[in-house]
Amino acid sequence: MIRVENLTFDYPGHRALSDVSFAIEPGTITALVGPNGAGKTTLLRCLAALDRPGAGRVTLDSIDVHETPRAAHERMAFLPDFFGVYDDLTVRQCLDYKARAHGVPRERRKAAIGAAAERLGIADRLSDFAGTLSRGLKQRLAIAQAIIHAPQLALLDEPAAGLDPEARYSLAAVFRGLRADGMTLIVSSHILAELEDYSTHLLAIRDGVIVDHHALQAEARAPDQRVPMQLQLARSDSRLGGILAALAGVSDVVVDGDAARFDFFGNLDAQHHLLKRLLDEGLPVAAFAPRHGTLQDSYLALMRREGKP
Amino acid sequence: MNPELLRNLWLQFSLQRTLAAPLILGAIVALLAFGTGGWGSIAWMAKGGFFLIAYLWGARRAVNVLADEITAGTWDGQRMSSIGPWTMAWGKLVGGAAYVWYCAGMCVLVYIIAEVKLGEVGDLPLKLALQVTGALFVQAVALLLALVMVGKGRRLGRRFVAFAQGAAILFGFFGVSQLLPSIALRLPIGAPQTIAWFGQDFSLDQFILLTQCLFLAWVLVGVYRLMASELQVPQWPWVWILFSLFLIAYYQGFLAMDSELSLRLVSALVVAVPLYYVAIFAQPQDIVRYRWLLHHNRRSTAGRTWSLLPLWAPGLVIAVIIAARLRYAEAITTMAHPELGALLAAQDLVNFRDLTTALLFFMVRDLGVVLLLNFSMRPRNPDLAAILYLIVLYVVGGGLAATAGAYQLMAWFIPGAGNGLLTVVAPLLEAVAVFALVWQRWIAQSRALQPAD
Repeated sequence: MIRVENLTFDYPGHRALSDVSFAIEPGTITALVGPNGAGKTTLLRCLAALDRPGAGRVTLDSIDVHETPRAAHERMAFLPDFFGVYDDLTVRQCLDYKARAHGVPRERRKAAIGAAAERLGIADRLSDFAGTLSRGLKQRLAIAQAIIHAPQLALLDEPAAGLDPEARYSLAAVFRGLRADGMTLIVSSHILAELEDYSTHLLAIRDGVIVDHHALQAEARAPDQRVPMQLQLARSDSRLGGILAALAGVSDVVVDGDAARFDFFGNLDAQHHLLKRLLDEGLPVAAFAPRHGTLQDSYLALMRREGKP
Repeated sequence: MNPELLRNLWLQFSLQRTLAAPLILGAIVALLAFGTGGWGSIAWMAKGGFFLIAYLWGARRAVNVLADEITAGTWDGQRMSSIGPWTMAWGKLVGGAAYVWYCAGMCVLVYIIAEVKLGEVGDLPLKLALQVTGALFVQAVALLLALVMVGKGRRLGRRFVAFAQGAAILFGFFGVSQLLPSIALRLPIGAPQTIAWFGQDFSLDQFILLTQCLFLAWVLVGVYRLMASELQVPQWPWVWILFSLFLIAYYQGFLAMDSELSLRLVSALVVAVPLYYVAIFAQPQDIVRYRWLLHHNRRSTAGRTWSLLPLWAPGLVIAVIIAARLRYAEAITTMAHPELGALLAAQDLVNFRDLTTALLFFMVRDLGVVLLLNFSMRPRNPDLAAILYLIVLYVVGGGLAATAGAYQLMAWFIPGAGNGLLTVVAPLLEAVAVFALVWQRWIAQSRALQPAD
C-alpha cells in the first residue's frame, strides 16, 4: 500500500526525520503516536507530498509520491491539524469545489457529494454556510472534503483536537466505516484512548525515529505474531505452569495462584487448539483470552523502554 | 470549468455584489454627466476609476487570493488537490480578481462610450490594450511576489499584502510602463515619442505595449513555475537562465545596431548583476537546501541536484562569462591600440579588467553575507538583515571613505575603487573572510544535524 524507505527530513539545526522506513498494509488504521516534536506532523506532510524530504522515498502502490505528487494526490487525502473551510461557501459548494478539484467526473459528482455528506452526517446541512457550522461539524465537513474522491489512503493529523466527547465518539465510528469501505487510514493523535477505539496498528515515533510498529488487534496480527494471553482456572492446579511451559508457541509464563499470564505465538485457530490441549490435560479452565492492555499502556511502556517516561 | 476560477466566482459574485457594482458606478457617472455636462470629464473619470480598480484593488486582490488561503488554513487542501500548476495559477489570477474586472470592465465601457462621443477613436484600441495589459501585468506581479514569499516560508500578513501591492504597482506601472522606455529616451537612441529597438522604430505607446506584453508573458511563466514549485512539482533552473538571456537581449535592443562589442558586454553585465541579486533574495537560502544539494550531487542524482540548484548559480556563471568576454575584448582593444593601455596606466585609471574582477568578488562576498545570516541556528529575517548589512557596507562604508578622501580605503567598499592591485585584492580578501565565517557556521550546523549522507 504505502511504503516509506529511508526518509530523512531536516529543518535548519534540527533533523526531524531520520532514516525512517516502514510499510502500511491496505485496509488498516494506523495510530501514529509520539511525544510533542517527535516528527509526527512532518512525517504525515512528507507522506502527503506536501513537504519534500532531503532523502528517501515514499511510494503509494507503485507511485513515487514526490516524483508525481499530482498522481499521488488523486489517491490520497490529508487533513492537517489546523484545517480550514471556506466560510462564505455553502457546505454543498465546499464539497462540489473539492470534487471538481480532485477531478471527480461530472456524472459522478452529485453522487460523490451526497455519499460524503451522508457518511459524515452533514447531509442535512448542505445548504448551510460553512462559517455557521460548529467546530465538530466543520471537522466533519473538512473530512468529507478530504475524502470526496474516495481515496485509497487518508492521512489525518490530530483529527479529534478540539472536539467534545460525543463528537469524538462519532468520529471514531466514521473512521471504522471508512476502513470497512476499504480505505487505509493513518491517524496522528495525542488522545490515545480515542485512537484505541478504531486503530488496528500502532506506529510510534520519537526524535524522528520509528521506535515501534505493530498490530494492536488480533485480527490484524500476523500468524506468527506474539499475543499476550491470560488464563483463569476454576481452582488452583499445581501442574499449570509446567503444562503451559511445555506447549509449543508459549513463552514467558507467569503463574499467580489459579491464574496465569503468558505470551503465545499464533492466530485464533492456534489459540483454539491451545485451549483444547489445556482442557484435554484436565485443567479446569474458566477463562482464556488475549490480554488487552490499553494503547496508553503500550505507549507508556514503549516510551519507558526507550528511556522516556 | 476551472475549479479554482469557479470557487472564486462563487465567493465574489453574490446577487447583492453583482447588482451593487453597476448601480454605484452608474450613479457616479450620472452625477458627473449632469454635474459637468462633458464627456471629457466622464472619460477622465472612467480612466481614473479603471486605474484605481484594476491596478490598486486588482493588485491587492491578487495577493489576497493566496494570503486568504494561508490565513484560513485551506492552502494545504488546495495543494493536495489534483489541480495542475497552470490551472491553479490562472484560476487564482483571473478568479481572484474576477469582481475587480467586472467593475473595471464597466469603467472601460464608459470610457469607450465617452471617447466615441468625443470622436477620439483613432488610437482607442491601443489605449485600451495598454490599460488592460498594464493592469494584468501589475496583478500578475503581485501574485508572483506573494508566491515568492510563500516559497520562502513567510506568512502573508497585512504588512506584506500592502508591500506586495505597492511593489507590484511601482514595478508594473512605473517600472515597465514608464521606466524602461524612459531609459531608452534618456539615452541618445530614441527621439521623443519614438523608440528605436533592434533597429525598428516604435511609437512610445506601441513600445510600452510590446514591453508590457513581453514582460506579462514572462511574469505568467514565473507564476506558473512558482505555483508548480508550491505544488511540489520539481523545477529546474532553465527558465531563469532563459529569462536572464531575454532580459540581456531586451536591453541590447536599445543600443545602436553598430555598437561596439565592449558596450554590448557592459550593457549585458549591467543587467546580469542585478538579476544575480534578485535570484539570491527570491529563493530560500537555508542550509538544509545546500546540504541536500551537495548530498545529491555526490550521489549523482541529477534530477534532485538540478531542482535544488539555487538560481544565483547560473546567474553568477552568466556574469562571469560576460566579464571574461569583456576582459578579452579589452585585451584585444589594448593590443590594437597600445597607446590606450599606456594612457590608462599613466592616468592610474581603473580598467575594465580590474573593475569587472572586483565586481565579481563583491558579488561573491555579498552572497557570503546572505548565506552567513541564513546559516545561523535560528535565522530571523536573514534577508532584511543582509540588505541592511549590504547598505551599510556599500553606502555608509563607501560614503565615509569617500568623505574622508581615503581613495584606497574605498576599494574595500566600492567595486573598482582604489588603485592597482588593491582594487581586486580588497574584495577578494573580504569574500574569503566572509566564506571562512560561512564555513564555521556550516560546521556548527553539521554537528547539530547528522551527516546528510
